[in-house]
Amino acid sequence: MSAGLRAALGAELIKVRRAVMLWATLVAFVVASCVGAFFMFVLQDPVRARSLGLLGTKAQLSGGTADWPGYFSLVAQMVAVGGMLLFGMILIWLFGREFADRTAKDLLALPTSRAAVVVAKLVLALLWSLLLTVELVVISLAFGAVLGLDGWSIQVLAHGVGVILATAFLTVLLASTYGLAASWGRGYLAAVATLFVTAITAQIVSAVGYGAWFPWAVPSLMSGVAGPDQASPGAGAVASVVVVGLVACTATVLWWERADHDR
Amino acid sequence: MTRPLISVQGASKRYGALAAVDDVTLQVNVGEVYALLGLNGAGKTTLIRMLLGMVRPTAGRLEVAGHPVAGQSEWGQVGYLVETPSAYPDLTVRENLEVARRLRRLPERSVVDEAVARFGLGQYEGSKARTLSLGNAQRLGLAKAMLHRPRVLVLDEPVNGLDPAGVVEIRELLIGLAREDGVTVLLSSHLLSEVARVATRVGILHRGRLIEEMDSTTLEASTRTRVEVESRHATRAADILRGAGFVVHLVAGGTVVLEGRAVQHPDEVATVLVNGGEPPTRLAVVDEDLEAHFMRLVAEHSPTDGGDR
Repeated sequence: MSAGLRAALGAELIKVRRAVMLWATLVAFVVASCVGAFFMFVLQDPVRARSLGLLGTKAQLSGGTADWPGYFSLVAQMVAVGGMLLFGMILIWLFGREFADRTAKDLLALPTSRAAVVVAKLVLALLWSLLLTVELVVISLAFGAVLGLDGWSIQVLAHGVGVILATAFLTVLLASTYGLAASWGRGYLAAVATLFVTAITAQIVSAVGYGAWFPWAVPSLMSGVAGPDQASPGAGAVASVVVVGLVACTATVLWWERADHDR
Repeated sequence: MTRPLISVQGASKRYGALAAVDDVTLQVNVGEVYALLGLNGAGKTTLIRMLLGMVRPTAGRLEVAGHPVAGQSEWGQVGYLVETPSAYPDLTVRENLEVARRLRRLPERSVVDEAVARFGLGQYEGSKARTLSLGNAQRLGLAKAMLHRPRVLVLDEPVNGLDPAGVVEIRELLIGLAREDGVTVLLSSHLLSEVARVATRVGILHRGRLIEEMDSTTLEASTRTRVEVESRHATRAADILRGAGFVVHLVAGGTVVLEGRAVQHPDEVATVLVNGGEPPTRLAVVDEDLEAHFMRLVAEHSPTDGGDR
């Protein structure tokens, strides 16, 4: 790791340590894991599920089964959908706050290059998102064990956790576009708008069966949101996500290096 | 010959038809305090941002610390404060300085302690930046700018928001940095009286153009009571007065400006000129300060020509 990147990461960690955002996202994923466990609890006992009324019906509609493969699939879906929002908010906050707090100008003429500052933010976003995913997985494993779900094996565990981590990684890659939007828009607004537009479009495109053609829908498809009988998105779809992520990261670095910082 | 630490050659920045900075050339030598004066929108901040590599010039060449701004690798020698001071509101004063220390890649943690002490922030070092008054936020901004004891300081309105004691403190600090440590300072300010006290040279920007530069001697002449004389032949009048032992400046427009004993004895000035065969057509004791000088210059360069800005 270069000295510049190390310096920028150190500075970013000081900022994040004090941020409400860190604790808010940690709590959000604790809540998500509780919700996932509750769905499993409901699915385990259909009589109890029916007695819960609307919530029970919704649980059935998710198409889930109360076993470990079903539970891992549900957690992966939460990472794909909730992660897009939360990881996106992390990227938007990391970049947008520099404009909202008017501190961006303090990052522009330093011995630490602008590229190092941007890469540090992207690396931090990746680590932060993976930390949240690990938190979700660990708590979900604990809940699954308490519920005594069927279908446990090392293979199921490895496959389930592998899909969750891959989904998280693809989601973070796509979320980097919101960091670019926050930079280009010099604040939160444009990036939040981009987040909503892509999230809604992904839902619509997936619903009509073309999700594999829209990168922002691919993590959801990978997580199995379309159902266990649907094939995973192909290598081309996954590659499109990687390309979008890399282009967004590169464009963010170039924007910070070359744009006129006149505000 | 001293080597300029800041050099601007024909720098321009255009936004469409608007020339924010228009063909500006200036140099700041080692140990100088160069002040940019100008009305709002004159182009001061754009020029400062160009010097810091934040805004790319449309034309021209800019160098800071002996290196071109484009592709600058010597930012470690430069400290800066641009426009309003900013800080991470959720971090304490000390944490904000710690962020700056890391980004400036300064290994010694003690620089933070020194900056806290130097800028009188000890009382607030544990306070979150969002709770600071404007004056203390300005101190924090200056502390960040000078944390690494730079060779070149670029400061946009450095005493903005400070109380009178703070203004004096910063003034003395800047003068000390320039005189004792040889730090080169480029600052912009709208506080003309402050500029007159601090700057060794002043550049007046108006509508993106540098319309006048003054060194400290001329600056001093512009801020003192002096005698202004006009006659039919200004050069000859100046020679006659010099011959009589007066301190004389011949300024643009053919006005002869006298200082020193001329201010106490304007009648003697008139007598010398009459006896020399060059009677004055106007003789006045004037209290023109820098502000008056500035406003006159701006008025002279504000034709309603519908041109740029």
